[in-house]
Amino acid sequence: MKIKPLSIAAAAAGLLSLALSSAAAAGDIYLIANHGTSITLGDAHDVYLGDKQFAGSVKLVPVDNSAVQDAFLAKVLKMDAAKYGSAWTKKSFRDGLTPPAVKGSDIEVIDFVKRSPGAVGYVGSAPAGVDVIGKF
Amino acid sequence: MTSKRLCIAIAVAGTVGMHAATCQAADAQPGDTEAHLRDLERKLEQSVQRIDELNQQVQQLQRQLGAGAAVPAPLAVPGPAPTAAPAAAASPPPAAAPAADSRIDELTTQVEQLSQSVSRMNTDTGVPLHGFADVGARFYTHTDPNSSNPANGANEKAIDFYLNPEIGPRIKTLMEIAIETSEYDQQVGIDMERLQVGYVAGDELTVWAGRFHTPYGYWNTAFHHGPQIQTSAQRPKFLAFEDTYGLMPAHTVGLWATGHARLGSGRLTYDATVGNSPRILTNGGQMGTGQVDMNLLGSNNHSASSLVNVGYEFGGALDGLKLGVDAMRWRTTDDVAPAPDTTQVSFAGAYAVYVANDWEILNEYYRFHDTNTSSDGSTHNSWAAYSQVGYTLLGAWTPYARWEEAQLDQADNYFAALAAPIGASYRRYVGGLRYDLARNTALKAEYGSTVYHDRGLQSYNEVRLQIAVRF
Repeated sequence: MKIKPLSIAAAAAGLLSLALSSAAAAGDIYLIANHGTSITLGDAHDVYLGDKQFAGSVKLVPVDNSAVQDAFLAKVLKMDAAKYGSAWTKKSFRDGLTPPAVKGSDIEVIDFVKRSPGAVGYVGSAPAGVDVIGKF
Repeated sequence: MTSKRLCIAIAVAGTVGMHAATCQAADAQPGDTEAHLRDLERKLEQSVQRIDELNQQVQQLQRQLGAGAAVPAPLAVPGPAPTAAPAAAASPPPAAAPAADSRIDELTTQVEQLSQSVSRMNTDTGVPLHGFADVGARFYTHTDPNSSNPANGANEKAIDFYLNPEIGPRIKTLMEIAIETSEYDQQVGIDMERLQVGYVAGDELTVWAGRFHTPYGYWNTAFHHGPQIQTSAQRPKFLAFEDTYGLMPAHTVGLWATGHARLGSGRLTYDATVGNSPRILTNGGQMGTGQVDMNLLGSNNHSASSLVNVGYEFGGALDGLKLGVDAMRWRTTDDVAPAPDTTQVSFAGAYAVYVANDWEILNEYYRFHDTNTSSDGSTHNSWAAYSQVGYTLLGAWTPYARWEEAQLDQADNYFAALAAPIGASYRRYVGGLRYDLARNTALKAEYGSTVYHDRGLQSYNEVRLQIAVRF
């Protein structure tokens, strides 16, 4: 399989840049929302535990981000993945709610939030093109 | 994703990351900016050297493979100073810079398209089906086939399926079916546990219609047919389901309004129901043989049950604590021969639960005030309560203990019509250990001591073992 030097060089530069940006923003979680979704940073806890389903007349659609989920759960919800899963099982069983869908990366979350009314997500690096509600 | 596309994806993501890093560096305080820039320059020099090393390796590989094609110049990485350019690499000619920019734009577009296609891949796998199942064994010091301790041995207890398809942004449903083996007559039954359709007006109000778990207290709606999510192997006896010798209507067919609202640092919660009044079905019309029946298809005495439950979930330092009060009333008519009795049943209750920081402390109290409306009009007071404490150690081990008691006035026609194991006054102590084998699997071992105070039932001790799973 031919591997062109251009691709390798680009990949190496990319990896370095990723490392630099991660070092510069280590641990930051950005809460993002679809344009026009009226929520605050303080709403994140309720949104991700199913206690806030609406922002005004807009049905909220939160999504999890497996890339930074552990950090988000620890910082915002003060729980680990096991307790988060258990909380949603109880919520689903009692109130008929569906837990947030899980996206695999910042890029997927940003794309979903951009095109979905009421969408709320969280990413590990400062995003462009979406409403950033705030930073944890 | 092929190797080439992976490299492209990483490259473009890295370009964005580099931009972010530069912006963050610019936002830093002036005193830190210079040091940060020097650090960036050093790392960039290292990366350029590494890129050239990789480029040379690829060229060597291609020569070995006899590719023979001209090797394109390496990508020009933006750097702080000309001195950072290593000697071994040939500087890209001026005409290659616009070509590189154009190439980066193409790569950016490709990566965006790839990410969009991945994000929009059809992940619709239909309506997810969840549920619970449990198997176990129970051993009694004394068995009574006509009581709540009928036989020793292993048992396949139940499998419970539930699904909650969202019909629309404001319409939701919840359907639950249980296949259970009765511990008392050993029959396998299929039960439509819940079939409810709800309209969500907002966080403050959801209105359900159908058959649902009666929202009194805490336990009945929090755990219900989910043995894996409840700590103990058994429910409190007086909160058992109608078909397992419970004395309260665990299910209601009717309407249920529920919601919550922020109040201070916590939340005010409420539930209100109106539905078919339950009835008592006896064995051949014999007094003292009855079971509570929720009247699935309408009320047999044209009366409605009503319930209100108001609670407050604390926030802040008391996060995890919930206090509440509830009240329910209904008119029950039994089928005792020759003359059925009608009883106005009502209870008022309170509950206090704390579930946080590995503690689970549950308390509920019910005070009954019933009137024998069809006979002498006499009123009778009874009560039932439980208190359970559990603490999770090392994330998986939860020892727990529970006291529960029901003191039921046997002159009250409602309790008198019920079978002895249901309507008898009792006190029970329970102690056990739960081990979370996995996130969705619990092993439980539980010891209980039940003392009856009336109806001539013999007291007994028991050991229960349970494996409970959720899926």
